[in-house]
Amino acid sequence: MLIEIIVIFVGLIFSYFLKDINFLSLQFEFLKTGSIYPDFLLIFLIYFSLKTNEMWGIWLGFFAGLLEDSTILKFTQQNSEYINLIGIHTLIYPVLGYILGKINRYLDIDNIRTIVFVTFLCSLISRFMIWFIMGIVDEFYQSYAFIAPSIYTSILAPVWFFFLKWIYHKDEL
Amino acid sequence: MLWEYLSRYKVFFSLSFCILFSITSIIWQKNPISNSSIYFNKIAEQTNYFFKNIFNFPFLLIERISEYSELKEKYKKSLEEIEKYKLQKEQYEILLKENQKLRQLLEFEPLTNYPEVKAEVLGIRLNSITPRIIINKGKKHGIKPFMPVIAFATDEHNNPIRAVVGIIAIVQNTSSIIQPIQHPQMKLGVKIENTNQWAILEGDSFSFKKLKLKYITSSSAKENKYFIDPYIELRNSRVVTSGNDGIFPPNIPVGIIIEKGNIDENNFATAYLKPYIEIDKLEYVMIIQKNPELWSQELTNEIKNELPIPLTTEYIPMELIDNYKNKLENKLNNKTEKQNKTNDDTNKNKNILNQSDNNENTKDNNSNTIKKLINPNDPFQ
Repeated sequence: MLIEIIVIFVGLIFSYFLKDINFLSLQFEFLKTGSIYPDFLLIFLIYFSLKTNEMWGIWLGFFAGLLEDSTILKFTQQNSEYINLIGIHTLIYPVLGYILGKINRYLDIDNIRTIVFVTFLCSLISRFMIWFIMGIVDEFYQSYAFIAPSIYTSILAPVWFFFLKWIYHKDEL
Repeated sequence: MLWEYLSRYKVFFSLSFCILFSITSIIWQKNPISNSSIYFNKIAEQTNYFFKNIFNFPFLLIERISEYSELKEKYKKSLEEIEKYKLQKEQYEILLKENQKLRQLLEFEPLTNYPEVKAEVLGIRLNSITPRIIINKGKKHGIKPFMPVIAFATDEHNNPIRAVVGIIAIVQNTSSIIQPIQHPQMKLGVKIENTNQWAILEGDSFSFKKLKLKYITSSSAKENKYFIDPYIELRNSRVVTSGNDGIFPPNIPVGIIIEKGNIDENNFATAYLKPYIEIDKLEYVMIIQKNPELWSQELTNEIKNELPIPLTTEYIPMELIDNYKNKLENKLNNKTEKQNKTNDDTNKNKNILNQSDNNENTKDNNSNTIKKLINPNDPFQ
């Protein structure tokens, strides 16, 4: 059990690393979207929430959220200093993990269409919720993209699901 | 008993904990976990840096081997160039001395060359809701929050320049986090080099490579002899930092205007700028060891609660500056009155003429401090 947890958390850190180095980022000047990046951390969370159960989904979501939140930089006028804003991703990701863990028995996750659809929907909803909460806490940012990164993440998801399945052999876990 | 109860409802308790933790962290933003998350982030970044090195090692090895053959030629050329630069350095020093003398004669403030610290970029996070850059220099190397950060880039004519990257946000012992100009909270005071028009650069734009310039002034250019209609000249104009007692020194290139925008309800023009720095390709940056100017610190301390915008901007609304100017004038007047009273008491028998001279001097000093505070070139004033 402990080895399982360690191995899965190494995967979580590796997904964060891929996201952090902007791996497979794309530039579409003609679409004026700027660079778009696949969300490997979200794909990882979706995969394990669908493959395991809601308990795994909640805790993986929480730690993935902590990793993501540690990158949010906010200027506070009261103290004239910058802080790391914790709580936005740690709120959205565990709820997402819980819902996916609950409904996994109704989804055929070996079907590419299902993977693409679920990833697109999760990415879009989570991005919207993050933007919305950030808007309430701070301000509604114009620069945060929803659709382009969601499409790109969902296109890459089947390949990444296959890769994760090959690495983890989750059926045996 | 309790353990059984907890394990029976473990999903409910886990989810409740996550939600409660998140809501508490959002409300109580400066909590200990938020502070320690910086270290958590640092560990993650350094792990990433390690992974990155392993990941890039084969590519680097091939690159280095192919570069080796070119090195000899480059070495010869660079030796010749060094000789040229030695001569140029002597000329530069002579010119610098001459410039200093001229500035003294004209009673201009002396030029300040701030020391710089070179730092390596450990990580660039662009796909987060707030982009940020991590570098490998911190408190130990004399880095402080709000220090300006620049990097080498090339301009529109492929000439090497040093352009703006952002501001130091969080400083740790051996690493720091930079708030790039693409950060949604960033508002930077800039000017258009050709026309001297002032504007505000907003980080919260639609793309990292297309930032919005707001509040472009038109009044300053009406008296400009060379540009009758400044709005036509905006495209392809270079944008530089406005400086003038803010965070950045003046005239550091920021980017080039690529598109004209609309005119807003207050008759200010807008435009879109392409930054010179390609943020996703940064490897090294330079931190200018310059603290925010004293007046801006005093201003923020004085009217911190009234200030609608953070210190990261060099634009301060006219009303606030007027208020501050009045407050400062009152304070200085009170001080001079007090001084005069004490002088009267102690120097009753002294010459009256000397006293009036002193008063004039103090008044001159007052007006000088206000002049320093208020920039005469600022069209907002």
